[in-house]
Amino acid sequence: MLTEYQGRTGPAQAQELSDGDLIERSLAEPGCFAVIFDRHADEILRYAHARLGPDLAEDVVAETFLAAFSRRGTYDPARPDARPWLYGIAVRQIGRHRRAGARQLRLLRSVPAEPAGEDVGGRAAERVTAEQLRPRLAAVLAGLSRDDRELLLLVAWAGLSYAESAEAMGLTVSAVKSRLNRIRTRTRKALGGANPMGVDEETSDG
Amino acid sequence: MDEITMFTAIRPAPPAEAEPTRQRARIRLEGALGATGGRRRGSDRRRAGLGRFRFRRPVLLAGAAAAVAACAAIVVPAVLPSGGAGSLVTAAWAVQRNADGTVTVTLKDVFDLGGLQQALAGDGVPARVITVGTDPAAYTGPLVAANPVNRTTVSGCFYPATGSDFEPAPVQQAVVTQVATPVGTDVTALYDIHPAAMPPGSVLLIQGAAIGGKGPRAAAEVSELASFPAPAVLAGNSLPPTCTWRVIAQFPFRLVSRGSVKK
Repeated sequence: MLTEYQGRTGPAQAQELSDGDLIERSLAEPGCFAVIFDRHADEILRYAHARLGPDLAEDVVAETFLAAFSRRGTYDPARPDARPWLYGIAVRQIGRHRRAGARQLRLLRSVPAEPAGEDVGGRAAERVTAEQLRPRLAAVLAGLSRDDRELLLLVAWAGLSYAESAEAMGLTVSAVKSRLNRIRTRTRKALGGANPMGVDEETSDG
Repeated sequence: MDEITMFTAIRPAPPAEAEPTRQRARIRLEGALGATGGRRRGSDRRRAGLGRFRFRRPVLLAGAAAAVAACAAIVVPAVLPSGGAGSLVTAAWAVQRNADGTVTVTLKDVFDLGGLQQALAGDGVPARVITVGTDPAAYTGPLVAANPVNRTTVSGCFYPATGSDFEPAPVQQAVVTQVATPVGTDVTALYDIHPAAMPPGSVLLIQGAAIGGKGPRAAAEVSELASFPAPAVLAGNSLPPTCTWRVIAQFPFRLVSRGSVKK
């Protein structure tokens, strides 16, 4: 016997709900989970595309949200933003494609970077320097442990805060800070022992 | 610039055409949303970690659309975005639109056919996609084709001119060309569909079934097809066929657990 599900949450109301509320409602109203997809799929797609290239990005996005939908019963509805949780699932999905991930890392030495935005505070000049250092940065990235690389890219490419990255990776914030400092040291050493930008910053995000 | 920020500067450019990819991923999710129909927490936990083969309650995709629309107004595109060469591919199935007007369907997982019906509709193939006879207790591992699938049958109508309850063979063969798959492969079925050969008002039935399924349950699913449009009179038949539903071709599957397959 086929069953058509009758939902109760209207579109306007759904848009006002937090991710946590929507995920909780999706236990009874599965359609609510589509709103989670609409809110975050673009971001996950961009990240998957950056990590694995165009061929596997769709699979990663679809499998991430399918897995998230399957596990939604374990999500704490008190957490209003599902992005860290979704990124955590996406990272695991990306990890299933190690060969493609390694190929993308090799390509990173030569592929063009994201177009620069406004030149705020002389960042364009710094970007040029980073572009010149691209082969060495790519080598550092390839040489990191898998967990360290995932963490670094969640911060650097996905733009997650330390707290969000910690949630995604199942770490404490202090562990995130410690690992990132280790990566900084390693990067500095790989680039010649000093920050080639001439400025040392002690990031205190999160 | 902090060392971490330096890595931001070498982030690859975003995809140029993200929307079609996004829509295809969404359709794959919608299949799962519709398949649950309001699941309880305990069941969710048991399902944590989707395997390649998922045993879910069989539903028609119409149910999926209803579920998706329940929480928010979501418009399913009438024509699905296609991949690089007119293809729409998921882990369970693929639809390839060919230059000669035919549509190639590949099925790998008959328990995960969500979105296939919409994909076919987008390529001009009116179809009903169902999965019947699923019995999770009957399977313990991945499923593979037990035998080459090389048979196409039709049911639903009685044709007075031929005395047969099958669609005349020329119609069957014009509509569906089936490619046998080798024993032991995990591509369970491959079909070429010729939409132009389908009689007006006809519907293609794609039915996933499995050994160990429960017969009565399967029958109940098929009965849902009774509301389909009445068939047209076929050329060569002086009388219209007597039928309660209109099915041009039916795709049967025989699947057994991998351990049972003799190689």
